[in-house]
Amino acid sequence: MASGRFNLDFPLPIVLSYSLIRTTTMSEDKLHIVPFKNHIMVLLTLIVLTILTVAITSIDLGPYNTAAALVIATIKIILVLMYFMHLRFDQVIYRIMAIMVLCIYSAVIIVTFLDYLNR
Amino acid sequence: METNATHHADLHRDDTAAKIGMWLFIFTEILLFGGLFIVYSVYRYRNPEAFHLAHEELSIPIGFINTVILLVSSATVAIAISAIQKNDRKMTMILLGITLLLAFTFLVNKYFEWGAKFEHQMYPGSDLMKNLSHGDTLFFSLYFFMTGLHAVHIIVGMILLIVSLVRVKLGTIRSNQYAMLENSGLYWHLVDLIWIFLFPLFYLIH
Repeated sequence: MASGRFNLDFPLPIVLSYSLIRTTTMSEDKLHIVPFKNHIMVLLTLIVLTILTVAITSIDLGPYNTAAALVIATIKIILVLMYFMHLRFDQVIYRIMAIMVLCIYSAVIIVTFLDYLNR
Repeated sequence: METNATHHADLHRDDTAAKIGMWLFIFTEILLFGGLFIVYSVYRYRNPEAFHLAHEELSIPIGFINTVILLVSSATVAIAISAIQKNDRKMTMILLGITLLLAFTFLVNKYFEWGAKFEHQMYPGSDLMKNLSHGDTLFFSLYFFMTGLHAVHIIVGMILLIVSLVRVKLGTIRSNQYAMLENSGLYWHLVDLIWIFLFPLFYLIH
């Protein structure tokens, strides 16, 4: 069968996303209550990462300072998105939307800097 | 599918749609600040020395304290949602109260921080700024605009949390109906997300 090519069809994601909403509301009924303790653990991790950012940027690593700070900030926003904003426990559709937006934003950054770095 | 009937007992209520709407709004906010971050990166790329010197005027301890305040307030909102799911309304209200207090502390810190900058003539258009390079003006314009816009978001988030707090008290937000609290919480985490990038980019990087 040609089912292997199924993913190439453009309208499929829309159909898929609809089915994602439908099928996952079932699992949403099994309400996921995050224990207080887990949120505290995430909070402590975030604070440790913040201290780490301050520590790393206080020593001179040349251009790697910026890179290190941005990498740690990215880890922090992933933690906030996944745990505090419940993306990890919610329906898949929210995760897909978030990833799409981050891809669009990355594309804009890349295109802008392709322009500026090559002038 | 029929098991959903209990979840959507009220025909006029669709929590999933409300939440998708909130996320879509959050995405537009991310792109709004995202655009500003790109403006910042480009200007920094073109004025590296001025940005380096200007950033040293910002106080890392105050920035750090404000970061921790926002992270803790994000955690208290997240725990408040767990509490309402467990039908613990009192705990929810206490946690929202703590969040609001932390938000207010953040704004007070910001007030003193901005006040000190104005006192030292460090704002675009001041006499001191006129004698400095174009890069310094750009840095401080972006600093005031981005932290200012962020502060506006803090105020909006506080209003949403106050409304949620009152509705928890009134009982219109409860363990089986808390979409408003959840969506206000999402907005509050957005404010945190933005600050996670603002702090290293303005205060730390050199």
